[in-house]
Amino acid sequence: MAQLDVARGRLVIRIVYDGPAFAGKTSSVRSLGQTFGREVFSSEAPDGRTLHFDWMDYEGGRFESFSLACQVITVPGQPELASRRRALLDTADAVVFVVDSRQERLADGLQALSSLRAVLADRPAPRPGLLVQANWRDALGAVALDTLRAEMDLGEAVGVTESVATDGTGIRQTFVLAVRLALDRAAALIQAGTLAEGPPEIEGGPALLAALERLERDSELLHLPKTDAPPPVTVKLPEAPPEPAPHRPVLPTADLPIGRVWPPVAGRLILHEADAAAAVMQERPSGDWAAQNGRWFFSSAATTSYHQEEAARTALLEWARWHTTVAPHLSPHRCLAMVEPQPGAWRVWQVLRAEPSLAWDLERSLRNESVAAFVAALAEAFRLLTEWGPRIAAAHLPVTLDSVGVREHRLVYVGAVPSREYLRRIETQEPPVLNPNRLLATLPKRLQLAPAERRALLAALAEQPEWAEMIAALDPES
Amino acid sequence: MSNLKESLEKLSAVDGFIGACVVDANSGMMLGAHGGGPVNLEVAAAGNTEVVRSKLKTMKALGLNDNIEDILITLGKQYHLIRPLAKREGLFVYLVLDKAKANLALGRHHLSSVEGEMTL
Repeated sequence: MAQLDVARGRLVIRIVYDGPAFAGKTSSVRSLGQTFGREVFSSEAPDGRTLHFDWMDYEGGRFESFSLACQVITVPGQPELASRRRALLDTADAVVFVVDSRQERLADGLQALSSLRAVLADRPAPRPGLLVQANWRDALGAVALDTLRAEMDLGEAVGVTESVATDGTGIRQTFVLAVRLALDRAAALIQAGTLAEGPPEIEGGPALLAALERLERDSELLHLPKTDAPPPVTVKLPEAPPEPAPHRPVLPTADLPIGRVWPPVAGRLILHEADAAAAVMQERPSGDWAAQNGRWFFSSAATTSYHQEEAARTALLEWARWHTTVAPHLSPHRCLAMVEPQPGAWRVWQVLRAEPSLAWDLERSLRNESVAAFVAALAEAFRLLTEWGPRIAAAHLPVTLDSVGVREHRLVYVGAVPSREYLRRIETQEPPVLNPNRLLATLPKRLQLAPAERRALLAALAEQPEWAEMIAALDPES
Repeated sequence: MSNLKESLEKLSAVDGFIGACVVDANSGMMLGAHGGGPVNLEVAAAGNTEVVRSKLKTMKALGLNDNIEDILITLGKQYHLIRPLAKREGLFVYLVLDKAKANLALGRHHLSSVEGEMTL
């Protein structure tokens, strides 16, 4: 991370505060923020636990005639967020490991420390320096430093400082020592000729949050080499508050504030028509949420929930842009909306009016008309799929008999638009080759034909060789 | 023996005291401060780090096998005293005194004794 920003005459370094949950990482950085009169940017859950990180920056001090710009961040201590912790630790120039120095918490600290050591061992030389901040020194049961050193197997090489994060004792001193360690690393990088130059890519908590979310979205965190990955920090939370009940999303309504509905005017009219108050909402096994009220559908993928308004707005705009791009292939009466049911819990919804799909039209033809009419409808469906199917597929919209429908003598996409994550994943890929015959051959199975219907349909199709796949689907023995 | 906070508070007893801080000479960052008034001690700490470094470099270049006891900077209205900690290499005390009220000899003596008692 250490970077020489020559244009602004400063050396940028990053100090990362690591440690088990509830050891005092966030309190330490907030105390530091108070000391320096700097704001701390936090991304935290309603119960106060860090979800992404806390961020504070401070410019002061000198190094080789450059001023020092310190980026101070904490990592989440929760085991399920180990990948975020890893991503942040990988950028550290020095690590302050905050440990609760009470006897009953040392085991947690030891476990987290061994995980941290594995992460640091993976870093190329010069590795970040490590400093242990023994916190909770004012608490009953805080062990002597020698005991802490022995029980955590610190040896003499690791510096240990004492602190009471809640009142700021020892926080500044620990930070200054960590800066020293970071400068040692920067000096080693200079000596090796590998110190990066130029302005840092990330300056500020929101920028880091966006970068982290981008990283997670691209699944890079999931693809860390498994053999190199450290074991996740497993931390018992003896006094952890109960998990907050997972909040139920709230459907978008026509009275949403300006800027949260796209398209602005038509979208609000759609929300008025869709009347969310009468819709029944369900969570799918995938974590997606869906609701329906008559012909109106509401859909929100599990991946479209955000902690920051800015992130939700970015997602909404990106999705809206994509809607605009593929608009010629979409059925009308659609809108997007972002909703915040409770502070810091944003969700983006798409709302659309259900239109008859090709499958629905064909089934209706078979049930309500004659076999001959159904065969004629099949032929028309084949023609439409051949002509319009590839165009819709080229827009990266998945073409199935349920996702497309006939409108004004052409096919349009009538399904819910896939998530941004899906679109990002496939937009660089070639669209799949569409085989209308194969698509239509899926019909017999879903129609659950009676034997007489099956025989009549086979007889009608037998005279037309282009329905070979359909015939095979109707009569596997053929 | 006194801890950092107590030591800095003791320095406020010096006549003409304006502010004092203990600084890490490697980074120019303050470890602790007391007083300051019109003087921004954070900025002063960083800037005077360069002074200490320059003096050390010069002594090395001159081949002087010696230590800095203290550095005095006399301004029109203030004395700025810099005293590296003998027991903790890389740290120094920075003391700002009002020239009109301070007795320089007493101030240096006081600073020396506080530095001797300081524990970190």
